[in-house]
This record gives sequence, structure tokens and C-alpha cells, in this order.
Amino acid sequence: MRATNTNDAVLAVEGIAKHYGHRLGSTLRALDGVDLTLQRGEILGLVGESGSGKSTLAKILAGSTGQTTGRVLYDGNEITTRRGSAMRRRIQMVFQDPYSSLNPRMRVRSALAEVLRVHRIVPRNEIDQELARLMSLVGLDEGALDAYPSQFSGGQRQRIAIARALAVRPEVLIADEPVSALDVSVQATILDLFRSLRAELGLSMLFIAHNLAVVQHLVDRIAVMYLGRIVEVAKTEALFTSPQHPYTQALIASVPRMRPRDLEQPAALEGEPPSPIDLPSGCRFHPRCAHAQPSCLAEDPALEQVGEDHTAACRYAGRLQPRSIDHQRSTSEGLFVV
Amino acid sequence: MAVAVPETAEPLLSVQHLSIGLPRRDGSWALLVRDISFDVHAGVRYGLVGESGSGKSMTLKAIAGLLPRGVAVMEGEAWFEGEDLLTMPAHRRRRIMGPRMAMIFQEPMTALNPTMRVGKQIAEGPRRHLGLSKQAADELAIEMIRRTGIPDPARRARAYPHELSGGLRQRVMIAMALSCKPALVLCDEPTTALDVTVQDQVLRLLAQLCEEMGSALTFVTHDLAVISQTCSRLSVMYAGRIMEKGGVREVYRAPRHPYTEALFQSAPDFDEPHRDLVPIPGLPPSLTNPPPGCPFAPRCRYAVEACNAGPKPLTRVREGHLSACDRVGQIFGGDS
Repeated sequence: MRATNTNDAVLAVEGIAKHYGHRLGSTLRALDGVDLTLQRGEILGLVGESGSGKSTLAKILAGSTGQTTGRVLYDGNEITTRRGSAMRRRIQMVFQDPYSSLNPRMRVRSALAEVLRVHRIVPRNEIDQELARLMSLVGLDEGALDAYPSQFSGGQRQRIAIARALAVRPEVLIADEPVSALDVSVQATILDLFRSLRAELGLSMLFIAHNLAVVQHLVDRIAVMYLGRIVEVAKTEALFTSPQHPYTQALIASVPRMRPRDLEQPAALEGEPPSPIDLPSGCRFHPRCAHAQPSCLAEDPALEQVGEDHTAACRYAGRLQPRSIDHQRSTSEGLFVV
Repeated sequence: MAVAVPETAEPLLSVQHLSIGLPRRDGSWALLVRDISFDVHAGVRYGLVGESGSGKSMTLKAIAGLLPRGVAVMEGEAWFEGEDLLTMPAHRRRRIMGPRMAMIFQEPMTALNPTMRVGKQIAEGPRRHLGLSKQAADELAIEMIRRTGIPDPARRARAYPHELSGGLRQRVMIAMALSCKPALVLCDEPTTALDVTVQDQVLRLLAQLCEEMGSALTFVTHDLAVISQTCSRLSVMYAGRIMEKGGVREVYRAPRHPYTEALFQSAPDFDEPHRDLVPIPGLPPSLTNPPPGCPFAPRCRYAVEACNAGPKPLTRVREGHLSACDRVGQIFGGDS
């Protein structure tokens, strides 16, 4: 099932920064120097807490907002927010809440047919046939075409939103928290759908999520963001078995587990991310980092190679042991008693 | 605290045959919760878990007296320290909410008063219910803020809610709820709006403070992993009914209802990355026209003809573990 990595970048960003002007001349740095590559045919996960800049990055890639500095490359060519129709078709987005991203007054048929007509995907007389194809692609019945979005459950609505994104035959799909609003029993069906779309259509996907347990089930590679920077990138397995950046380590230790865990232990990470208006000096993680050294206050670390296909932005990466015992994948039974 | 409370002891909260309904235009009722019963004993952390529409939040709101307009308790009792919460007059309930029972909401920004400094909000309860002087209550508020791990508590007490981050606001909510040492704390998805590292901090804090104060918890969430980290007993709800009830460890190790089993198989477990996720086919039943038998039968892989008829009461699987599946023996193989 794993994609063949041919080091063939379909979408890449170089030194992307996005600054928002703020009162009194201060600046909010939503993104501050991000380099990232999406390989053809891969599903890349983007994780991080709120305010880390994941959604801003998605918007820049989709062209719905411009960057302050840096370049976005598609197939090696620079693209801007002023994209031609052909380029806009190639990158499509799926949002968290399918109800607010579908027009409640339009039947599914007219919502999807409009996309097909505007982009001249198929000749007019083949639209019905194409709609049927889209429905079967996302696992819905053809009868669904004649209903309104409100008549569907959350999972079905998300399928319709995905069908609309696929209608223009994109090469890249950017999904921003696409399963966060869905019930657990439905999440799995949408994850399956993403997996089968990659296999059938050869789509490349950027999958943004905050739930590490979900990400782990779907993606090939993961990029971890913190305060507008990418702090670690690795293959999924490597990231979870040997996280190198102390923030990644803390993030993994914080995931609530099905198995018993000792809540008497202190939390893996104290405090909350500082404001992106007033960023800490040096490494922006140092105020919360258990391993911070004096040099971390002065130097701002860049992403460095720490293993095969594995980069981390920490001077001490590779020399740090996760602090928490919870990090180990197996936990003994009965630690937590009431 | 590690002593198991015998089931025979008088429970702190006893919900009996609770049904909650929403009247419809044609005069019929949509049943949001159907005939559920559970007991929460003193000091126990009790979880109510289920997906959207399972009735878990409505159950909690009925206990707290906070049902939305139009939604009504149709039947049942909720005994708390010798009184029925569902029939007690409002002035009596006001004397209980705070000193004996408190609630923590999902979104602290809408639960806190935006025009009042948080220290004052925390001090309100102790002043009113514990009869503390203004100064003593203010000191208690600062002490509570300190105990929730907020640095520089005296300064934070003077902050307004909008000046605090989501995690700090939720800590203020916890400080407020626990300021009068209530016997029972009701939590409605208290960490769902928080980031994962902050969620971890808040869950640990909640467990630790309840332990210190001897408070019991009734914890509503959709997140199986959060229940596992927080609670010792749970009820699994589906379509307004309790499908399975028991100790968290026993239920997680060996679920004894097909719905619970299916829910676990569909949920990603961080510690089992290579297990395939199995979605539950179909949709939950309509609340206005529920199926006569087991509500899960239409989606159940084990369902037989008999599942679609007759009431499905909770029956004992083993000590303290109950299942509403009458084929539990055939499906899960006896009493092991």
C-alpha cells in the first residue's frame, strides 16, 4: 500500500513565511520559514497544536491566501495566488466541517454539476454519467444526487465534499481536519476512502490533523509543526518509534491511551505555546523544553538530517531520551487505581 | 482511595429509569434517553461514553437541571444524598449546586462571566455557600488557582476570562467547580476543545484534585482513550440507552456487547498502529421511531431475528459487569 517514493516532488514550499500586521506595529508570525515537500502519490500528515500554522500553510498551498515571503513550487515551477483555471483545478481542498462548506440550498446534483460545467470537465451530455462515476468513487448511492446536504449524516456529507473536490480531477488533495467532526465509528470509513482514492487515482495528499492516533493510521510521512515552524519530519513509523525533537516526544507522550496510564506522573509538557506575536528568542520551544540549554536561548536551530528521511530542528536531537515513561508503547496493567 | 467501594453501599448519585424526551409538532415525543439507570458511588470516577446522539450529554444535563428549553424529563429519578434532583424545587437545587455538586463545561469561555474577574467568580461560591468573609473567599480563590497549577495566582485572579488561554480558562473552571469541595463533579467533555498537550495537563489535574478532595466524577465524553485515563467505571450509551456497564479495565479488556466491541474496533488506538480500523456500517436508529428490540440490531454483525423484538434489559455478565445483549453468551462465549 505504501507509495513508491521516487523523490518526485509534486508540491513544495521554500522558506514560506506569513506575517499578519497587528496593532501597534507588532507582527503575528503565523508561519516563519517553512520548507516542506509533498511527494507524488504520498499522503503527508501535518500535525501540531492550534496556532502552529498548519491551516495557514494549507491556505497558502491552495492559493486562497498569499505568503509574505518564500516560494510555492508545483512540479518545480513557482506558482502564486493568481492561478489559472488549470492550476486551480490541480490542487483541491476538503474542510473540517462539511456542512458549512456545502450550499444547504443546492441539491448535490446541481452543486456538483456546476463544478463540472464551470471547469468544462466533460461535455454537457456526459455530465450525468460523470456524476454517477463521482458518487461511486466516494462510495455513495446515485440516489444521493437528488438530496440536499441537510438530509445526510456527517460522514455522508464529508463524502459529498470529497466528491466535489474530486470533480475537477485534481492531482493534489489538501484535507484540513477532515475527520475531526465525525463520530469514531464513521471516521474509519473516511480514512478508508482517502486510502482507496490514493490507490485508484494516484492522488497526492496533505492530511492535516491534530489527532495523532488518526494520522498514524493513514499517512506515509509526518511533519510536526510548532509556532509557525516545522520541527520534525519523518516517516510515520520512525516518527512514532524514535521521535527526535523534544516537542514531538512530548506530543506523543500526551496522547490519551486506551491502556491504563499513571496520571500521578507530571504531564509531559508544562504550559501552553507562547503567543506568535511575541516569539521567544533562539529555539522557540525552549521555554517549555525540559532539556533546554543556555545555547537554546541564543541559537534558532534549522531542520537537520538526523536519520534516513528524518530531519529535526533541535541542536540536541539524537542525544535526548524521552523524559516520560509513558512514551514506551507497552504499559503495564493496573498502574492507575481508583 | 484504592479501596473498591462495595456495590451495596448507598450510592452518592443514583439515576433510576431516566427517560428524556423532546415534544414534536404532531404531539408525539422523540426519546433522547430511554430508561437508563446507573449509580455513582462516593469518590468514584464514572464515565458515560457514546457517540453523538447517544444521550450522554442530555443525561448529564438532566442531573444538573440544565436541560435545554423544550427538552423534558419524562420519567425517572435521580437520587443525590437522599433527595430526588429531578423533582426538587429550584431554590433547593441552588443550595446543592456548588457546595455538593458542581459542573465543568466543554467551552469555558461561554460558561465564565466575561465581565467579572476570575478570582471574584471563584470566590462567589465559597462566600455564598460556605459563609466565608469577602477576604477569606478571595484568599481561597487564589489558593484554588494556585492548586490548579497556574503560575502567579494572585495576578491571574485579577484577570478577565478573555485574557486567559483556553487551557487556563479550563483550569479556572476546575478551580471554581472544586472551590466548595463538592461531593460530585459533573464534566461535559471538559477537554475536547483543548490541544493534546494541554488536555493531558488538565486530565491529570482533574484526577489529582478530585482525589485530594474525595470528590466523585461523572464524566461525559466521546473519547474512549480519555475515559480510560480518567474513570474507573463506565456506561456505554447508544441511541439513548445503556448498552454495557462495568469497570473500565474489564470492559476495555473484554467488551461484552457487540456495540462496545464494534466501537473499539472502529477507534484508532495509538498503541496499535497496525490494527485495521473497522467502521460500523449504517446509521444510528431514528429517535422518534426506535426499533422495538435492540437499537443496535440493524447494524450488528451478530444480529438474529430475535434481536428485533422484545425489551433488552441489562443482564449480569459477571460481578459488576452488565450487558444489554441477550445473546452475550453465544457471541462472547460464556462467562469468561
